[in-house]
Order: sequence, then C-alpha cells, then structure tokens
Amino acid sequence: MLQEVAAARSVLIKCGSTEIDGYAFSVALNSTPFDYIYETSLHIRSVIRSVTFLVRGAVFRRKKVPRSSGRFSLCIHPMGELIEMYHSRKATIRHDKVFALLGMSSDDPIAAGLLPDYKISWEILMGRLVRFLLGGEISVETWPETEMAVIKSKGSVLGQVSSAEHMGGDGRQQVGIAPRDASGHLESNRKWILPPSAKSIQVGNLVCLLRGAAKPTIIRLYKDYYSVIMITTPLELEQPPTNSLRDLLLVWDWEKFQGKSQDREEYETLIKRRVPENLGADVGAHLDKIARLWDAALVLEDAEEYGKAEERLREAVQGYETEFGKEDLRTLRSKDELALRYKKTKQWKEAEGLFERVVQTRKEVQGADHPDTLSSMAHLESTYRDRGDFREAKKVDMMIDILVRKGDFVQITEEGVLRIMRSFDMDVMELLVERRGNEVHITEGMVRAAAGNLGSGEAVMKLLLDRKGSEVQITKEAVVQIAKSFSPETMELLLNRKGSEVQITEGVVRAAAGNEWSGKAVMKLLVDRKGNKVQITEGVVTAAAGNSRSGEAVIKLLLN
Amino acid sequence: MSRWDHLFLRQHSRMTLTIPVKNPYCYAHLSPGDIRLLRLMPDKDENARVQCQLFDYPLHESDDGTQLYEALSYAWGGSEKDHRVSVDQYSLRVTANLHAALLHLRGRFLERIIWIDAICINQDDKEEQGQQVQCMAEIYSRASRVIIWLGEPAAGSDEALEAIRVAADKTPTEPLANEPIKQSILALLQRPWFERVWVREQTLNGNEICY
Repeated sequence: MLQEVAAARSVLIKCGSTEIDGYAFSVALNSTPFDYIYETSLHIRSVIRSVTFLVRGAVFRRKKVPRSSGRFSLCIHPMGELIEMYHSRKATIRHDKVFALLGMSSDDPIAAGLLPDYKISWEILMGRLVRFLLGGEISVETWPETEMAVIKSKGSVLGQVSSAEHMGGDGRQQVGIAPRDASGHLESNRKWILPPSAKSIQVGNLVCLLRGAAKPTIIRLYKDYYSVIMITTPLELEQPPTNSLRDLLLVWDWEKFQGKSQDREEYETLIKRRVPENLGADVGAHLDKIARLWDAALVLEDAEEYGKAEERLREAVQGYETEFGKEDLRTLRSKDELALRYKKTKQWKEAEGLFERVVQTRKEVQGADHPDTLSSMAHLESTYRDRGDFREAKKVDMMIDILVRKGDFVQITEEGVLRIMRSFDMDVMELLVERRGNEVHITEGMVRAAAGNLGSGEAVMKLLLDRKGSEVQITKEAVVQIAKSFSPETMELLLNRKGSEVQITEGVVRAAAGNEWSGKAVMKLLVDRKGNKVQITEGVVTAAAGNSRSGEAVIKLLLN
Repeated sequence: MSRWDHLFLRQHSRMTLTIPVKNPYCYAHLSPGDIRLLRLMPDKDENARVQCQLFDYPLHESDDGTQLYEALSYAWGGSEKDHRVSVDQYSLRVTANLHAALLHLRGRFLERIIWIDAICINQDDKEEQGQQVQCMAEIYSRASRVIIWLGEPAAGSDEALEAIRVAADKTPTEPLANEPIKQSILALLQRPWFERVWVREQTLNGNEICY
C-alpha cells in the first residue's frame, strides 16, 4: 500500500461506486474539522498521517521517471526512516514489511544484499536489515515470527532530547536536542524536524551514534537496556569525545509501542515476555545484568542524569557483592567507582565511609602496598581534602608516602619521620614502624618530637621503644621530657630497653618530681630501679613543691 | 486430502458430465523486464461473471512517462479465495474483496487496463515474485492512476466521503459537529486498507486449486 501510494502520480480513492480524488481526501483530513480523528488514538494518527502525507504528494510528482542503471527507486527516504514509519502496519507476509519499502528507499539496500527473497526466514531477513541500517560492528539476535531484534554494540551519547512535539498534520516531529560538546557537556538546544515514526520521540530520549553506523539512533533507557525509538535519524551532530564509547544493549521491538508503565522494566522480563522459549538459566546472565546496569549508569552520566546513574551504580555494587562476595576485586572496583560518584556530588559521609571500607578490605585481600590499595587510599585522601578535613587528608597522605617509598626511604628518614611524629597518630606511626622498620634510624630529634607531642607522642614513643629499642638513641633532654610528661609505663619501657644508657641526672629527677599526673609513680620507678642515682637536691624539692597535683606524694616518697 | 475435498471432487465430476468446466489458468514464463497487465472486459450486466485477459507488457522498454494502465491498491480481505473470474477462458480464484473491486471497476462499454498484484504475478512462482517485487515501485509510478479500493459501501461510507470532499473544497475551520458523520468517517479510516503495508495472496499449493 505505502509503496503503491508513494509511487503514484495520481490517486483515486474508491469505496463502492463513490470516488474521491486522493489529493482532496488528504487536504480535507489534514484540516481542523478532522482533528478529532487524531485524538482518538495514537495508532490512527500515525496511520492516517503517513497515508495522507504520501497521497497528497502524488500530484506533485514528476510524471517522467528516468530509469537509472537497473535500479528503480522512488528515493523518498533512507531505508531506516521508512522502516520506522511503517513497521507497525500489517502485512500478509511479514517479509513485505521490508521488501515493500525497498522501492521507496533513497539508499540502496539491494546493493547491500537486501534483495527480495521470500525463501529466507524472517529472522535472517530481520538480522540483515539491522546490519544494513547500523553497519557491521554490531551483533544481532533475532527470532522466528518475532518482529524484534536485540542488538549489542558500542556507541557514544551525542545528546539528549529536550523537547518533542508533533508538527502540523503529517506526523513529522519537531525535536529539540541538547548536543554534547567536545568536553562532553550538554549544550543548549537545537531544533530539528524528524520524519514520522511509529514510536513518538519523548523528552529524555538519548541520541547516540553506534560504532560503524552512518547516522545517529534515538533510544530510550529502560532499567538496564535501551529501546530503539528511531533506528536511523537524519541528525547531524558533533562527534562526542572519543573516550566515551559505551556498551549498549538495544531492543528494537516493532510490536511494542509505548512503554508507559514499564519504565523500570528489566531486560529479562522483556525478553521473556516477547520470546518465551529463549531464556534458559544462563550462567553469565547475572554478570551480564550487573554489567548492563553499570553501562547504563555511565550512559546516564553522559546525559548528566547523575541521580539516576547513582541509583544503578548502587544496584550494580549490590549485585557484585551478592554474586561474588565482599572481597572480590570486581566488587571492590565497583565500590571505588560508586564512592567517587559520592565524592563528586559532595556526599562526604557516604564517600568517606565507602572508601574507608574499601581500603580496609583491600589491605586485607591485596596487601597494603598493592597499587589498587594505594589508589583507593589516594581517593580517600582527596575526599578528606575536598571536604576540608586537612588533618585526615594529611594523615592518609603520609601513609601513602610510607607505603610508596621503598629504597629511598632512608635518605628522607629524619625529616619524614619527624613530620609523622609531630602531627600524627598511631595509625601512621604503626604503619611506618611495621612497613619500614628496618629503614628507619631513630635520632635524638625524633625522640624529642615524640616526647613533645602530648597527644599521641607517648604512644609513639612506646612504639618506638618497644619495636625499635635497640636503635633508639636517647638524649638527656629526651629522658627529662619523658620523666616530666609521660606515664610510668613509658619510663619503665625506657628503663627496660635502654636501662644501661639512661643517665639519671638531677634534671631527670627534678622533672619526675614535677610530673603533674604521674610524679609519684615515676619517681618510685626511678628509686626502685636506679635508687643509688636518685639525689634529693634542693631543686628536686622545689620542683615537687611546685607540683600542685602530686608534689606532696613525691616528697613523702622521697622522705621515706 | 481432507474428507471435504473428496466430497467436492465427487460433486465436481458429476458436473463435468453436464456443463463444460473451465480449467485453471496456467501462467506462462515472464521475461525479465516484463510485467503482466489485466484487460477487464466491459459488460452491460453488472452481475455478469468477470471476464478478463492477461497479456505481457514490456515495462522496461516503455518510455519515461506514465503508461495507459491503472494500478490497483486494495486490502486482501479475508483468507478465502472463494470467488472465480475468467482469464482468457480459464478460471482464476480471487478473494471476495478483489472480486467486488473488479465488479465496481468494470465499465459497461469500455475495457479497462489494470495491474493487480494477485492476478498479474504468478503467486506460485517464488522467483517471479521476487523479481516482480523489485518492479513494484516502477509499476505504480508508471501507472496513469493508482486506484485505492477501500471496499464495498457500508456504515455511512458514502456520506463520509461526501463530507470529506466538501471539507476539501470549502476548507472550513469549525470542528465537525455531526456525530453520525464523524463516526462514519472514523469507521472508514479504520478499514483494513489503512492497516496493511502491502497485501499479497498467501501462496497456495498448486494441487489445491486445480480442478
């Protein structure tokens, strides 16, 4: 019918013995009195509009049609556009949905092997059609008696539909498209007029260019796959950044029209519903599904739909964890990615929490100095920094520094370790001693630094004494500092490990007498272990007298 | 063969004794670049049996312009080829809708040259089908006129077409107010012709139509 009408130079419409000229018929049906027809149903609208569009054109067509070398075509539209206009019509023989359009096509499907051949099966024909329209770099799956193709390909998002409305009477659509610029961002609207199609283009649809295809395709994202809205379009859009090729799973379904209520429909459901015999218990099905969710998220990000993208990423992370476990590298990688999104959208709590867990798991599974672990730590560090928590950031930075430096650690020892000691806590220090213990030479300055740090200095000092006692060089000032500020455990540790080297000078005893919190205990320790060296001088008594908290106890102890 | 076929053949063989029955039409080979055209013979009796002739036409050798034949566009209509027409003294089975179209297209005094896919293409020859399908666009382009056959009049179709004709002429801007006319127009636009892409006969097994 369509080809017949599209080819006609003059049309007469006949019902019984009543006749009307085709042009008059079409003009009337596109005038206002008949608007009610198009409000009846979308289907009638699309049918009548495409028919009147073609019938009306008949009288304007050139009567002389020169025959070019062998091939005769009406050259009305490219094949892809014709298919989109007419695939919803009925045909006695399904093959005619393709073959009947060949003579109207302005590209040359026959040269590309789409020769009318009623002996080949429908699924083969449908497969050939898809390959002709989209180029060779795809894989297509088709089924007998089913007007549907599943297409796997790679493609980039070129833009997003920002407005869509039907024009006048003939079913064409005016579509606003926000194209992506060279940096990948959506620019402001450009208007295009697109030919009539069985499925209406809607706001939010994506324009993408499949690898190997000549023209962009308009698609709609469902939960984890895409429905083809218009297989080829006459749009001329800028090429997107080359690194944005995404894996796409497209379903071109001629039978399903409007997906109103199935926004969240999943691929499995769709395929099962349309092709019941197809879906067995596929081993890779779960993995495929997670990967699809993931790819869909990337595409959504290209379209700057960050909220929806995050939703799918979360679901994919959940999927990996359920499928492969918490310690699987795929799970960890996906968590890293999700946390990066949280960071990008300033959801600090979520980002930090997730990175911290990933770092912890990676340390256990892959090792602390594995590049993956370090990379996750670097993300964590930059998250702290972006939030403004420079202290935490610096701490992680230190840890990375410790882990990354290997042979050359010796050269920066003093300065590096001092930095760590002055500001940081046990986590970092422990890491240092643990990972780089044999490379660290503890200097007087370091001990001073530890002793001078009232926050974590004591713990650091203990750690140093405990693990690296044989290397620690203790200066007089350091012993004074320990006696004055630290608990008796540290002094005990010092005496145990370095007993022979520790000089109990008058300054040390004076310092112990002045130790506000632990004066008595420290003094007792000194007396017990180095009793002969402990001299009660005037200075010591003065110091104890000045110690309002424990001075009295110290004096009592010394008098005994 | 079903039991009904036996019954039919028995009846049929009895009939052959009394009246001469026409043999089914057999298509001759079609040269590449040619098409067949149908000559629909006139009859003053509108109920008389449809008589026509088929002849080969060298479409590829014709000039660039339109040719003096019409082409029919119609919906197949039903699955039964239960009507018969005479083609060159032989019998050919067609669907009810096509039969109705032929009756309405037949002139009282003038013959009419028409191209009709179901008759002009040998539906039993897949190879010919494939070739002719490639010629379709050209066949319809070179027809002096394409006739769209919507079917027999029904459900106010005459009034509907009249309202459409008037609207085309007067280009009114008011919405249609006459509810029955509106419904008739809607019914007309939902006739099968508007639904199909391209209707062709389903291939029948040659044995079934030979009697």
